[in-house]
Amino acid sequence: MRRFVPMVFFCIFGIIMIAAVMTLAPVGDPHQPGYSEFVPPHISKEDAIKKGESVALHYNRHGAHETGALDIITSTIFDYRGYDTLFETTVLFTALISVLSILGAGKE
Amino acid sequence: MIGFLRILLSRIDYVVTVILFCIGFYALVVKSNLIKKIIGMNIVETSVYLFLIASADIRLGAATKFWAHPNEVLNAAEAAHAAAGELAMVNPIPSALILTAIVVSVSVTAISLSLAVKIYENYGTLDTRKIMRLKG
Repeated sequence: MRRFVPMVFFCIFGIIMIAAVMTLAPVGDPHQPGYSEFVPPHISKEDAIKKGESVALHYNRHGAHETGALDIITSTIFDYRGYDTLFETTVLFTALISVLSILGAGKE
Repeated sequence: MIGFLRILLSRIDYVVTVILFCIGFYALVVKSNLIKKIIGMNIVETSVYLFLIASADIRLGAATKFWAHPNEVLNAAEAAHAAAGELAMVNPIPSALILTAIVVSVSVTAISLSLAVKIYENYGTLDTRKIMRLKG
């Protein structure tokens, strides 16, 4: 009983999540909204041209001469999203301090 | 039915991530051993990485690099795109975001494992049901 009820719950949960996943664009679709020059229906054609290309396409096309990196992920991590990478070290530092203080508690 | 199977197969990566997520969440809820709970949490995190990487994929897309060694052999898809004049490359943003997610998950795993060590030192057990019954 203790295993059966959660298993039924997670089967229903999984079916709902699969139904949600079915509404996404297919895997590898080059016209998916996050990648292509997708224009939402409420934006006119002129505004879309003024706004330009999607972020991913901008990185892929102009990353080489804007940052000088040899790899797009390198240019994304260290140039376009440098603050993200900078404060990642804060996360690691906080985790290190937490682990040391938890393991060292009550030693005295 | 055939149409449904075609939709399912075109999104099979996402379906696999949902199954992995459910397995990890089941372990997180049902197992009473703390180490097994931490393993379930890591499975959930891995399923999220797989979901984002699958959403980054572009069919026949090249690896995200600007530079190729002269002796490097292009694979068939890259050669076809190079011949067509444009090299379609996969989406670089999810890869960069997952690097952040991996750092966060390593930190969370380290803190939970150190808490498990302290619980075992103080109570002599990792079973959550036994820990709940203990007093003081």
